[in-house]
Amino acid sequence: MFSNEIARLRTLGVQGLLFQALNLLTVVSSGLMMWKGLCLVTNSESPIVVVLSGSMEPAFYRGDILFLTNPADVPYEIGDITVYKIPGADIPIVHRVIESHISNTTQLLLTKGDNNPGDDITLYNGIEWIERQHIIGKVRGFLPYIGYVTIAMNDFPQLKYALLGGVGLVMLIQQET
Amino acid sequence: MAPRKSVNNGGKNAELAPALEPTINSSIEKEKGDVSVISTLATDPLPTIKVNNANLGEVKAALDEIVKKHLQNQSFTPSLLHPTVHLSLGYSSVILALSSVLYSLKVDFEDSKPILWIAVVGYTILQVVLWAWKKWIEKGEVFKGKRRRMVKRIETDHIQILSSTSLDSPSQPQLTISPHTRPSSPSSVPTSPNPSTSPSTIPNLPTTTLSSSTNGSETVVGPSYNLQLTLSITSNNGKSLIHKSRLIVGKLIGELIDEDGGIEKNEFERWLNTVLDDLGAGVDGEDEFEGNKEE
Repeated sequence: MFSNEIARLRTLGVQGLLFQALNLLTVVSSGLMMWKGLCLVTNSESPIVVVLSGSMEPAFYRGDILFLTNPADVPYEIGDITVYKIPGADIPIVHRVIESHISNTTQLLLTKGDNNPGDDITLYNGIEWIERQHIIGKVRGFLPYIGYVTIAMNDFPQLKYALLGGVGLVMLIQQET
Repeated sequence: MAPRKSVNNGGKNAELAPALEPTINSSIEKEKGDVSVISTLATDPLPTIKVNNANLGEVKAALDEIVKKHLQNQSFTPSLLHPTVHLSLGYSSVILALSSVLYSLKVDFEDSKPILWIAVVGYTILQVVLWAWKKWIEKGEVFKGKRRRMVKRIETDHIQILSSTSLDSPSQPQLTISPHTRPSSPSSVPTSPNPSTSPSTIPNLPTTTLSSSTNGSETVVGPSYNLQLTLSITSNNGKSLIHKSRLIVGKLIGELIDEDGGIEKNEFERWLNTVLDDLGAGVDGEDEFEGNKEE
């Protein structure tokens, strides 16, 4: 099926193969560096997240993409929608701040989902307040529906590997100068 | 685009002695006013390399490979400086990026921030430097090398070839010979009585109006593969410059590739030999006959 392309790859020689590999690695590295650059600029470890549950309806629905920033030294206010991660839990939660206290060292916050009957104390795994260090960022903007692509790839990992494999194959076969 | 060569023709004529005077195995097709001519010797082997002839990038890559191999067969040793710098810049930026990402996976976000800053800024700087290198120093270079010949004394040919493709037909070849050329050198190209720096057109180089000489009104149009070759001949350890010339020349891709995408390698190499002759870096360095170098 790819006999022409494979024959051409074989005639390349060491230098040619190094150049092809460099092309592929440069694309991957550029993507990674752009993502990490975005993380640094927003001061957030994950500036783009997908909403998985309906606990913030009618503001956000499952499948929405949220854009976060985490400005250092600026305290969060009541009403901000934050994404936080409890130590020991895998999945970050996106809920609204309903109470806030500034202590000597950090800011203590209590959150609640708009669509939930009670506050998040049961989700906190034993602690009474979440601290500034647990917060990944606050929501600055969102895009509806786009997140379903990520949800699909998480629920069906074969899709993720198929996509990655396809892109990799195309890059290897297409000779770009 | 010319049709592919038929097998029968090649088989029959192979029994005859390979003609130095090419029996032009040409076919002229008329398709909505287009006229395409491909001239290949009946003794040329069938194409082995096939490319997508609608993809100029692939065509350029394949023709570049043939140029590189052909020059090496003409005893030029390629210079490794440019590829080495290119690969070093590229791989150092990639290694910096990938190692910093691996590090950030092991450590908390807050702790990884300084390293990530260094990596992102360093990667950007290296990539920008690489881009500038490619644009201003490599400039589409395909081959750079030198060759030493013995003609009463040791002379070194330095050649640099830049290639490009264009959707336009090739323009007239332009040969520029440096006025410092010493006409008494045995290996210099015989120049006109007034060597000048202004480009001169060379009547014997193949032009795009090949068919118009037979059929007055039509010129062939199509994408072309263009080469810019610079030759300088030095001797005495690079201290004296004997000859310097630059040739900008192009060839219609339709004259090199058949409709299936098979590249006519021998036809291309014959054209390269005439180009090198006109540049002053002839097939054998001094003789100026149009012969085929047997592979």
